[in-house]
Amino acid sequence: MYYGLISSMKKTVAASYTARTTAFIAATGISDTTIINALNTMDLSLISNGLDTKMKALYPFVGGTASTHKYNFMDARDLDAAFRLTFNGGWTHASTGATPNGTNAYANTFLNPFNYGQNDFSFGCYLRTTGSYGCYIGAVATYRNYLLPIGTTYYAQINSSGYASTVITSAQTTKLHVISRTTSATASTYINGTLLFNDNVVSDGKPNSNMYIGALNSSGLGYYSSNEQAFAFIADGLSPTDVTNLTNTVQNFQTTLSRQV
Amino acid sequence: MKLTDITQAEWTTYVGLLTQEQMYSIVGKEYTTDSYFNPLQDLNDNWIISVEEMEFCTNIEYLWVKDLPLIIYEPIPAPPLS
Repeated sequence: MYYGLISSMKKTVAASYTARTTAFIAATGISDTTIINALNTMDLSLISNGLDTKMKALYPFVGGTASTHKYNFMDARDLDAAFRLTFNGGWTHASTGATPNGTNAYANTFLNPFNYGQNDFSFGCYLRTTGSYGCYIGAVATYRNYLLPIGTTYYAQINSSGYASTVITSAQTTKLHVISRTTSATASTYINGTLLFNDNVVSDGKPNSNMYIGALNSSGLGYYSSNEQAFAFIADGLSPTDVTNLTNTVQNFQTTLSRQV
Repeated sequence: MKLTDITQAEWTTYVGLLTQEQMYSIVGKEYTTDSYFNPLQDLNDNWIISVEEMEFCTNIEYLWVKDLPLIIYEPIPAPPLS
């Protein structure tokens, strides 16, 4: 009788993951309980902070292969329409994340910002290694969406044809980088939860082009980066509080996986 | 110079040199599971692929890429942002 009760309890525990976690582990085939628990805790944090309804694509880069890194946690179907990544060129996949080679590597998210709000959009990524050249994530077609350092100049824009940049150091090219626009007047860029700058460039249109990770999707594909990425997302616009909550969620996720920087 | 002649630290220095026919035969094709060749042209109009694509290729149709001659990578400068 006790055996039956304990067995029943185990089944209950095993079934206690969120629907998204369950779908993601089914798609990826990941069985490592440290990873699964980290994903589940991350999802519960997204839910409790109201971030899950804002996320369109979220790439946790777990499992160590292209076949596990490609999935969008928010919709773990193996479809372009689910914003599943395709990895092109030279990538190195490891348990710590996905590293583009800075030569010809990019991942197509199939998410086109043209289909989302001009003043309600954000994106970002968690970088484990430094690298002061190349687009971490972005797309340009007249209007500009990117996080893109060139030396000490950091270009960061959402849905604007004007230009915005600030100065960063090499040491600042790690951790969670986020840019968010919730008004027409300003887009805000954050590193590790701290506001880096408000660009004050008015939004005037949206690029009709898929967001790429590891390079800039423009008429001439380029600005290849080489920073290892351990998390990336594209979402509706995030408030400063949202950015703080997301930063804490992502940092806890990386710490649980022993790959935090 | 071949793939076996370089260390991993030199992967970013070198690229594999393709003929135009070879480029057409691999562009967009899977070199290992869920990873696709992305040949591009260098500053001298050579068609090239990265050392990672050569090293990690497991598709038996394209294992010949492991024997491509290596050249030093000279990228085309990216167009100015502004």
